[in-house]
Amino acid sequence: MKAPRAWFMATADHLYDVFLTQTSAHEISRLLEAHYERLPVGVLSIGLHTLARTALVLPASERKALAELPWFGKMMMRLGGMLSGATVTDVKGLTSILWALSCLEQAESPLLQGLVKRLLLLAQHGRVTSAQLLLATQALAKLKQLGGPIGQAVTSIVLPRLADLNAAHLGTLSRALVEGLGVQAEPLLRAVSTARLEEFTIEGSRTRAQLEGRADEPGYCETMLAHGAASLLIAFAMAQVAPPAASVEPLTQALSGMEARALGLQRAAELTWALQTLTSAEVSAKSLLPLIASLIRRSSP
Amino acid sequence: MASDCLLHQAKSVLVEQLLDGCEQAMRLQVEQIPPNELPSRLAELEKLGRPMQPALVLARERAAHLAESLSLDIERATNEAALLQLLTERPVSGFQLCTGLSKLARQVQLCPDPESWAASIVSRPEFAKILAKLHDFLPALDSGYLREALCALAELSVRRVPRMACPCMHALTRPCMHALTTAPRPSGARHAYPHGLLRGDRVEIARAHRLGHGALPVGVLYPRPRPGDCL
Repeated sequence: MKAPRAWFMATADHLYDVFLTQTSAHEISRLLEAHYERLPVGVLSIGLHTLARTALVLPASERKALAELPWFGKMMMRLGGMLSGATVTDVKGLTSILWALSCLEQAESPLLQGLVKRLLLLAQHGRVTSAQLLLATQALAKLKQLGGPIGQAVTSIVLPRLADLNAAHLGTLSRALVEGLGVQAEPLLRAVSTARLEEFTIEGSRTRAQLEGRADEPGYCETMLAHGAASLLIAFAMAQVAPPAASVEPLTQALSGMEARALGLQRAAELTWALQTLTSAEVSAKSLLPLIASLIRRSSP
Repeated sequence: MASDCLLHQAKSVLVEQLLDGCEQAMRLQVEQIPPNELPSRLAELEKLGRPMQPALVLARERAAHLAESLSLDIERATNEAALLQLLTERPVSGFQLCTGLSKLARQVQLCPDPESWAASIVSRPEFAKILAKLHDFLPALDSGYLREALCALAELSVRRVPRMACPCMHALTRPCMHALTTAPRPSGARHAYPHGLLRGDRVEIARAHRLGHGALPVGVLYPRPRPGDCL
């Protein structure tokens, strides 16, 4: 009895190393198909994570096809069944599955609803860290699951925990929730742009960088601020909600660290659209961004 | 008051620079999209929704500019080789493809031995690619362009192409004819022929048939007359 077990442990260790270094989604898929039935939960989670990460470079159709292979569903069910407790490892595993499902665009997966319910339950009991909650929210946004009750539940969980997040995280979170909830995300947007406004200032970002142990990283604060402020402005624009007047100055100042010319097409378009939308008559009527409105009007020919 | 104005000015410059930078970034990246990929990138941007509007404006501008210059290139192409290259390698639209085919057919007819020159052209692999493109465009083409394409194919005697060189030929003529015979007609059209064909269509198709020496399936070309048909 011992020999096969030893052999298997060696295989699992070997696969663990392979998963960490392998760059081909098809190769990972082949390995998982061959071994998923006997791999321990930790190695299986890493395998799934690597599969999702490496599949990101594939065309969407190929990525979807990969996740629709018959063994994939069985593997996910097995993994889900193995993560039935409430330990930190289980929560990490559940978040990892959710993230993998979002990368593989598996919004129709039969595993999804149960997974979300379990994660939300664990989060309500304070078992999910803010970082994992952020990752799960992004995954849910990508899977378009944040509209309605799930989005509302995530909002109520994250609202008391905003102090754990830096400017970039706050921007990303706001945007993800607005994509699902639209104008219903207004309470979160208000909370971020009032109670957590400090995060969007130079001083606040420096303090945060020290807390994260990244104060010495060149450009870290500027990037964090610019990303956070841009995402938050885009979120306000998407929700058609006016940011509080007091937040306008810090948010525009936070953007000053941004090298707009170096932005990707999508990001540059989003930011332009957000600035233009926030100064439109519709949103301005709600007393938003009077300052930026006047500035953009002046700058237009 | 003075300090307020200064503050406003400083911010104005900031936002202005930001919008300016964003526009430069978008222009640069839109310019870098290879012409053949532009239609698919446009579709991707459209799928991403409202926030992509500023990029879409620039991408559509470029697409319009490229389309215009492609139309000019087709119009100015002086020989068949150049036309074949344009129709094969550039992202032509349906109507550009029909116009190009028509021009190709006209140019061939001007040659000293049009029949053998046409045979040489349609036997090239590029021509098979053009036919495949035409096949893809068929559902979106109106009857005028369909007729133009069909006549051009007939003038080029496409029926002589070996089966392997244009596997879609049969698939092409039937939908062409179907589209021609089922296309909506002006309500005031008095000379409607069976299956909605107008006199002009029938003449053109007969010409296409004659020129193509029977390239088109006869059963499709000459539907059985019905009582009351006035041919």
